[in-house]
Amino acid sequence: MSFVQLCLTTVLAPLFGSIVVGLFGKWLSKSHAHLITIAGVGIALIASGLVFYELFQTEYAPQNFSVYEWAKIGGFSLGVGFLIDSLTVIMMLVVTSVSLMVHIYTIGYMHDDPGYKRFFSYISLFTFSMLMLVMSNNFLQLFFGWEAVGLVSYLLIGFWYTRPSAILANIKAFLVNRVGDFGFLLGIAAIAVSTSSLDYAQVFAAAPSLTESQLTITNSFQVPLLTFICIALFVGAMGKSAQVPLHVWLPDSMEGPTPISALIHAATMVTAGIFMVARMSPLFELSETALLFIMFVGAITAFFMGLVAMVQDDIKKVVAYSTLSQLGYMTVALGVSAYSLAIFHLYTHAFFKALLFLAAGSVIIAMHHEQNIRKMGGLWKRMPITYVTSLIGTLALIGFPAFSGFFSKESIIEAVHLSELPGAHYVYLMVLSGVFITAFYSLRLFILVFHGKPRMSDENYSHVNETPKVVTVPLIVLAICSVFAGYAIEPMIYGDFFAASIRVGEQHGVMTKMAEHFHGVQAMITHGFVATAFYLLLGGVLLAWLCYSLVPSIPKLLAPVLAIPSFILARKYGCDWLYIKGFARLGVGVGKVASALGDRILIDGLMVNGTASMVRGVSMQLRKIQSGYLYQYAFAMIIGLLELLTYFYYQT
Amino acid sequence: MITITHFLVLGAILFSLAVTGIFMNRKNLIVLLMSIELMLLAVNINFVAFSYYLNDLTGQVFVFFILTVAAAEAAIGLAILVVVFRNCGTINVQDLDEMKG
Amino acid sequence: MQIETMIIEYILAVPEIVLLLGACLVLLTGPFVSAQSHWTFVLTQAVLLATLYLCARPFTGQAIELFNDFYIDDDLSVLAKSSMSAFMMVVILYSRGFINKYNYPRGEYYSLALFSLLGMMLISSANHLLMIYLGLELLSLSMYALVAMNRDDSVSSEAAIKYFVLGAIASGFLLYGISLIYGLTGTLFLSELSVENEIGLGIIAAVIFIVIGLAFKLGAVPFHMWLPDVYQGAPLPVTLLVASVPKIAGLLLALRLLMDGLQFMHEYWQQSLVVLALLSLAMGNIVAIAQTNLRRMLGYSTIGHVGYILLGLLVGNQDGYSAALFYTLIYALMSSAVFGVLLCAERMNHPLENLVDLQGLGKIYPWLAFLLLLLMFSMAGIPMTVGFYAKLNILQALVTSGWIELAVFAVVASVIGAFYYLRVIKLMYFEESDTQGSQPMPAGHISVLSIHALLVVGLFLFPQMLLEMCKQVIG
Repeated sequence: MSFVQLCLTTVLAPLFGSIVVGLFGKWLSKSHAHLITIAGVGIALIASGLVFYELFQTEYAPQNFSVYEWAKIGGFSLGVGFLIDSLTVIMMLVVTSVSLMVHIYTIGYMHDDPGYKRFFSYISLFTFSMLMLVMSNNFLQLFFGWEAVGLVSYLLIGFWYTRPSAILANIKAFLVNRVGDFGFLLGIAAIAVSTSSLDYAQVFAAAPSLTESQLTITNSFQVPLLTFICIALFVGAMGKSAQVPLHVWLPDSMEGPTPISALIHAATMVTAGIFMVARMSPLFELSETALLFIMFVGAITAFFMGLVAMVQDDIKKVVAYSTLSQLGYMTVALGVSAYSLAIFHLYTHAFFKALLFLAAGSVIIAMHHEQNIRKMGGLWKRMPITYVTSLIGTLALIGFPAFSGFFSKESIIEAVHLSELPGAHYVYLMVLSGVFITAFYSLRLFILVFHGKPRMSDENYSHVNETPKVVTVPLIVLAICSVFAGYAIEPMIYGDFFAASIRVGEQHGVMTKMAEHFHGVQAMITHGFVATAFYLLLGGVLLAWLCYSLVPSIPKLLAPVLAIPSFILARKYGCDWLYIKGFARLGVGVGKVASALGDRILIDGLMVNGTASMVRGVSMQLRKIQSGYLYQYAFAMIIGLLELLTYFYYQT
Repeated sequence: MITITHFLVLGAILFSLAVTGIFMNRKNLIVLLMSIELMLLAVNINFVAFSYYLNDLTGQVFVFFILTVAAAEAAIGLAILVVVFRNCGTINVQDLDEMKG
Repeated sequence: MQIETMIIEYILAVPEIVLLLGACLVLLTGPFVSAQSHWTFVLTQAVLLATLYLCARPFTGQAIELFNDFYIDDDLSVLAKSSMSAFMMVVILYSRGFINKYNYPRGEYYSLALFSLLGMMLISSANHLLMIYLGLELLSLSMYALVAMNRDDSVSSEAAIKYFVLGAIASGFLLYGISLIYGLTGTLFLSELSVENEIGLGIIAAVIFIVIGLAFKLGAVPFHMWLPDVYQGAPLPVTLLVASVPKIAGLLLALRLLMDGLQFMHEYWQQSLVVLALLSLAMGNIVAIAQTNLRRMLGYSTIGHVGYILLGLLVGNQDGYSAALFYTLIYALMSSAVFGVLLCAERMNHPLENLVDLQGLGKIYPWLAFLLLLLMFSMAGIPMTVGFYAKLNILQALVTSGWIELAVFAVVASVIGAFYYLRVIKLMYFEESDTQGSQPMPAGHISVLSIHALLVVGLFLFPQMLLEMCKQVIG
């Protein structure tokens, strides 16, 4: 099988599964439905592995080829093509492997759901879309994938479409993503205009010559073209990767089934923005302003969203806010030009966050769809596998040395420390304190769910049982990945792995400095136990232990003192309030006025109905010409004749 | 000396008379049919005159065809007239205004 | 040699000869068969089929002149004759149920239809003004008789007398024009018309008279007065006939006269056509809005379409002529299908006489309503139907030859026109009616009608062949 065919197989196998199950599901049994889609994704995983192997053989030389030219408009060639390099292949592996785990897990989680087949069709479609996104070699296909994953996300958030909250959540996700996509589209348009191409290779080649170009917005207001492009593209990433202030949809998206939260809203789709920025590194490297913007947005997200996670009581919401916070870390890494670290964190995060979500799902199944952690506790006895795997996930998340999260997050913090961007030291403080916050909310969640006395009736407690194998096996696999994924740091970050796919400017030498400090994995772990971050981590863990296990009365005692902060946090800084009561209501208000004044009176009344009634009036008058009298008909003919004759008589 | 112009003027006068007859007459349908005949005769005069001055027989042959067709036309016209009279009880042009607008 | 030429001449005229004999035969069988007999119908269709078969031949790109150059046999005439015979077959098929139901004298309808077709075929092949005149009269006289066919209906006879008188005046005008042409050019052969001296008022007047005769036949404002009355008053099968096949003949008449004969006067007739086209577009589309009678509304809509056809003609080059031809063929297709729907509804005792009769048709006869919907879309020129291409072609021809103002006017007119077409759809689908559709659809009628109406979508998807044909047959 040639390389091209291999790539096509990767993409098309899930699509095939999705189409078969989606369109012909009526004639398939449940087990056929999941077997077909799992086979599709399994093939995609194997093919991705082979692609990786091929690439490994050629020492990660990028493969860029076009598969199909869809249309040619002027000079633009619109088509489907693949750019396969280390960045792509790592995404392919993450997407297909997590997707496979989620597919298997879904068998258990969605067991009794009437939309079983629909669900499998959707997640396979998602896998296809995501692969199209990451494997693209041009902006059009990127945009296709970008919108397609957005679509599937929309469909899946509203999967239980009879719940009003699910519908609200998916509309919210849709609308907020529109804001981001608008920026993204503007960026692509600016690229198309300025480089006359949508092909990555051509755009990247043309980019350095654009550094001096200005984009004229008004006569007196100009912005550097590349800064505009990069920020516009990043606005797209902010929507998709849920960065402040476009983050509001992600916590609500937890209305969707848990496997989706794991696959789409933690491991893959939300990281599309991170991937995209890393993919566009040749562009972003050319704009200092854009990088600075990215860094601050990331830091704000990482820090403030972590804080919100501390007060959440819904098990999935906690994990969702933690996802936001971790996405913030990745964004910060992008901002300081440590693209490889961002992708590395993306890669480790995909495993441990998927693990945490699936574990949360496992708890939810066991608790019969109870999601409030205040009503849990002491589950470790009843669910040993979930407990152990959750522990691993939690340790990875908080960045405990030797676990995968440690390598990526510790490196990001270090990279920020070394960054020379203005304001980087503030960001350093934020991401560093983020470690404390992460440790606190993670342990809080962990303790409330698994330790302490059960806060439910004994009868309920006795009904809690470990979940079936289809659920636990993916947990175990992901747990193993969460432990060991981090050890790839040496080849991935400090080897030549990303050399051909990520371009870092001379002036942003964070990674070269990092490489000077790196003395192997062993040394890094050892150093990890004495780093500042570790003490913060321990502090967070101990505080959580103190508050929720040792002296459970502390939170109550502190409540009056912390009234104002917790008020703010519980309302998530009022973002929802601002958007719904503010922007949305303003929009509706403006719309109502415009509809009443402009549409109904001016357009409908005056222009549409006005002209219509005018035409009708004219029509009623004109029809009187047709009097019904034969002599008048004849007269009309003769008038016509005379008219034409006189006209020509006077003309000649 | 009678020139072609005389014939043409005669033809034109007859044609105009016919046309005037058609729209001036508001009473009798038969007058309309007569006017139509007159119109065709005016054309015939034109043809014959041209034929004579052009030394070309086609025009005269054309006249024969016109006469024949005019006969057929008159037959159909009168038949329709009869039908109209049967159905409407009148051949008054002014009364035939059931369809209009 | 002489005899051989004669034989060839007659061979080329075989379709007309067959048609003539067939028409006479149908006329003769009428009195001898019972009222329930289907023989006249079968015979008529057989004659038409034979005519169609004999007419249709591949395009050769050559024009053969026969019968002392009176007659011409070229690709244009082949396309016109075959399409007219085909449409006539459909027309006869749709009319049959109505004719049977109301016990119309069948032989008359069928044989008059065949004679009118013969007249139209003569026009299509004419190379001499006498042939034009004879063809036109044969067509018109048959039509007058057809319109008056319902001998017990006052409206019908009123329509007939109006049509007759006005038609006679129009042919008087045409003849007067022909006589002037004869005097000024010395010939009646279309291909030989020319003037030696500079163009004087006489020849201009002749052209105007001829254009008026033409405008009457097509139904262009202000020579359209007969059209709404005939559409409304004539028996439904006759309206169907008037509204479809003669339009093609009318266009052929225009092409023969203006393109073959008077191309050298293009500058002059173009100006008159501009006036006629503008008036037709405006009057047709605006007055149609005020109508309550469906057939009358369709009559005005025809006037609007004629405006479009005239726009194509007035461009006066290959693009324009072929666009007009394409438009006319499509118009005949749509119009015959619309009246086919009306006849079908009539057969199911749900006559669609006035607009209010359309109310709730979408519920009563969903399929019929759907077909009518397609046709209305097509008439309005909405994409996904071939009516769109027809209009687009005309507009393209106009714009490429610089008539941008006319194109804009035409678009505005069709926007106004869209109103009453869409109103039909609104009535069918958004209004309620308590009537129930109990009658089964006449199978043969509805199946042919379905194919016929779905052609407007089919031709939208594959318009190329017909477009090419229309381009090819024009010079």
